[in-house]
Amino acid sequence: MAEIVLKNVNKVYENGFHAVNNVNLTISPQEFIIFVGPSGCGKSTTLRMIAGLEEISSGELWMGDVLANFLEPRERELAMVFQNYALYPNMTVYKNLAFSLEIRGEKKEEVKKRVKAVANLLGLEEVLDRRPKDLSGGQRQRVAIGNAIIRNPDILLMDEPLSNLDAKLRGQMRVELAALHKKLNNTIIYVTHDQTEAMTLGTRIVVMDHGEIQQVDTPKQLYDNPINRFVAGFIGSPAMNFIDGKIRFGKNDVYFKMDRYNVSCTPMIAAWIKEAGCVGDVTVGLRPEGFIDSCRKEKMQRTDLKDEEKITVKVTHRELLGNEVLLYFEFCDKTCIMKTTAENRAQAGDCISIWLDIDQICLFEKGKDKNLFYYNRCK
Amino acid sequence: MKKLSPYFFLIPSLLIFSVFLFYPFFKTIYLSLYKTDQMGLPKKFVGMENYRKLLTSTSFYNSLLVTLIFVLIVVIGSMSLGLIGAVLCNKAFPGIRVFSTAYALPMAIASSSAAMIFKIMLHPSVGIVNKLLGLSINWISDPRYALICVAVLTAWLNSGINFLYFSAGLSNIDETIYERASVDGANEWQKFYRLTLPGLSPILFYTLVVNIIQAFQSFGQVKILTQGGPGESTNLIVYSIYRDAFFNFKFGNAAAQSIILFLIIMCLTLVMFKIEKKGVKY
Repeated sequence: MAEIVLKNVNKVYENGFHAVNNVNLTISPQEFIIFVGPSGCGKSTTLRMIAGLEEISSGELWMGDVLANFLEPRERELAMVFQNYALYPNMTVYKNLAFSLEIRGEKKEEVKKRVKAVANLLGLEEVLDRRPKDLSGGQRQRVAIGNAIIRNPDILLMDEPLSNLDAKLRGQMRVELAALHKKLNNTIIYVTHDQTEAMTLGTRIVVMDHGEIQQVDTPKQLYDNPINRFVAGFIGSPAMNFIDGKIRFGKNDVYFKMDRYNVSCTPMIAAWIKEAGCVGDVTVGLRPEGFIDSCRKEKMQRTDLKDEEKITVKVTHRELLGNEVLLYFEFCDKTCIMKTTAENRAQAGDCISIWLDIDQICLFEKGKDKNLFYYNRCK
Repeated sequence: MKKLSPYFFLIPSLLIFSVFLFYPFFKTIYLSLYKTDQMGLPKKFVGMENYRKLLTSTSFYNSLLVTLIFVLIVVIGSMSLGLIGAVLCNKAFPGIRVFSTAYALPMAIASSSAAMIFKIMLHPSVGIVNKLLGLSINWISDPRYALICVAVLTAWLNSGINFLYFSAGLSNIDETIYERASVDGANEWQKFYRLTLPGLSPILFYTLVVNIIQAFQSFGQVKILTQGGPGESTNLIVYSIYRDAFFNFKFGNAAAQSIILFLIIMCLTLVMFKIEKKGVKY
């Protein structure tokens, strides 16, 4: 099994568009690595450069100790699942699965054996004689995956493989993919714009924007400690709330001035702020569950949240998600979203009291992108 | 009235078909059963006599054989020319439009004017073909080469429309299956043989039928280039019909040949449609 290393990889198209900008990344064997980002961020292009379908404008791509820049796709010994599955319409499912083995001149019995094995693994035995157009979306997707794994490749590339499925099937396939990775133990490089897929599947996630890698980290780290405002806003659903405020220094403490409220910091956060040397206008990033209402306060026994710290807001909208509920409210001239338990019965128009869980916040200087607490939390 | 009204809409095209297709067709069948005078008017009913004569004449069998060889060369030539051109032009590269136009151009050239140009090009002493190849072959007057010359010219003429059909067919094939094939490990030939050809099979079949019919009906280039000669070496059925009718004034005989040509083409087409149901899968 080989390590894949991208060194200063760039992709500039003929029309001058800089699709991928100086990407450096090391992918270790057996990793399930996910490229995630908004459309046009260069994640698919990066994947296609690894596959050899797209030329690398500058930089180096190493597979093990081979410089792979100029290898033909078929010499790279990897397999790929395409977004639209790219099944051969003129062939039956059996032929589709057997294609990559047949063109390599494998013996008929061997091909048959392996197709049977893959069909068995993916539940395709019933449809081996059918053509792609007679299959359902989920079956097509399985055929595409089956075609990719039949050669048992070390490296498996997937370009938004689940995006053409409906929500229920997508959830189901997600679980199956994770199980498949456990079973096969190959390196999987997976591109998606769906962050649920990214968070649930990946051992590491690469967040990209405007052709550049923003952050490479485990899903948990990415959620708890985003490196900048883009990652903070992109990972997590509903997105992180960004609240404008001012930092004020009291006699012994540090507090945020937000609207007409003074929200005091915990000693840890106060120390971090002093360390960062941050004064004046800032933006505070807080996850929807970083707002705590009285229901959750009691449940979590947060006695540290004092009455004089509470903030009163007016709910503008309520969204029930089952056992959880999203409440929308206006705070500091912005619409904020909080997530709480469904026991909170507040309806649109009601006023409720909430606290800010200050230990969870990310801090940005106003108009700047860097999360000031990133290195503090890395320690 | 309601049931009838759809048929009223068909009247204009039915009228045109009747005048230019159905009437001549039935008139031909009628004529093929008569001996005619110089004006082409039926004079004496002879029944199947015209057919009997044809089927015992060596000249007619020669015509059939020549036509068969001609059709084979033309169909294979024009289809492969069109296919090669279309596959080459299916990739984006600078100047693609110039090349596409060049490949499609024969479509816009009248067969007789192309024949005139070929006549000059194939001229034994001043023709460019002999000059370039350093040969001194009398292409058109040598029975060994005349048929091939006419067939190659026709193949080139017919390749234009094939190029157009194949280009359209190729653009209908999903690009990503080629990408998948490259990752799967296929080389260019395997991609062509296993993906492009099957992907084109419906349109290949259609062009095959059209090309065969078209090849059987070639006339202009024979008339200009060889007039059926030398000897009878390029005397295709259609030219033979023309000659019997308008030079020899044997309209009955010509009509009988027409009917036989019609039967041959009809049978071929029917057979091919039968085969299509088995062969073309998509």
